[in-house]
Amino acid sequence: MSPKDLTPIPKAPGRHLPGEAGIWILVFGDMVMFSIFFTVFALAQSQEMQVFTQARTLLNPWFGLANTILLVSASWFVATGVKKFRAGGSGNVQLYFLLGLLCGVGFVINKVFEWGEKFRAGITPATNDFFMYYFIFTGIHLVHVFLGLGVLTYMRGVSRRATPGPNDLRNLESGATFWHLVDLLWIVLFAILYLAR
Amino acid sequence: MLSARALRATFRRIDSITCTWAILVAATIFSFCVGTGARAATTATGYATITVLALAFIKVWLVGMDFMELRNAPWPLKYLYTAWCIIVCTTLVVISTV
Repeated sequence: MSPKDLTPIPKAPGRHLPGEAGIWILVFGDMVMFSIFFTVFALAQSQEMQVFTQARTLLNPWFGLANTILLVSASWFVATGVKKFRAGGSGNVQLYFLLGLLCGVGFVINKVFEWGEKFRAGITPATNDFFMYYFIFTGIHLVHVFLGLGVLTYMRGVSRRATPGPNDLRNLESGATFWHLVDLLWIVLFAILYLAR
Repeated sequence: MLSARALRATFRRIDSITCTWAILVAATIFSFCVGTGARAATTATGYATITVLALAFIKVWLVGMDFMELRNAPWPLKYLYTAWCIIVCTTLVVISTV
């Protein structure tokens, strides 16, 4: 049993800002940027409805479904890990971050197969406007996933320390907030690229 | 073998984060069925689009409230996030259906 098992980290009473204020500036900045992407895509689609509708039939929605479930599950692992760490944690808190990390790796592998399938079929960003947006948006999102995997690796390291430092909880909350951003952006991308018209 | 008491104890242990996860997965599968069904049918795609977009932003809102812990965060942050969900969802629905 580590010392961490015996000392729950007290939660401040009242409303609580998870993580650093700076991470929320980054999160909202990214959300604003992506909301512009979503709007540009929707406007382009309304101009070329037939092209977009036909191109969408070339996407394999099963990849999108699997990736959404992977990211949502990764978020569950990460949120549960933070909750358990805050509650004083037991030795297996790091396992939640590891499983979240593995779900994220699963997302990347799935994406490689999905893009590979497109390239083999001769579909590239130059094919039409739909695929230009598809590759740009999912590519920018994939960069976020890679950053998130780095963050989760760091979080796992923090949660493995025998004695938690004074800023550990705040750092874990900041990291988790970034990971959930990766999840929420994908939820919208899945809807607009694969499912909606 | 699981007794009724053990089952009740198991359900009591399920926390709100896990409930949110279950709702997110169920909503994802439902959206998938609506979206891919509409793709095949070509009719009523307007309603399918509204359903898919509305569900997506409800999911995003739940991720914010329960996973990002905004439900108990300072209210400007909580309402800014909620406003983003409503504004972006409405914009996309209007552009996609009008």
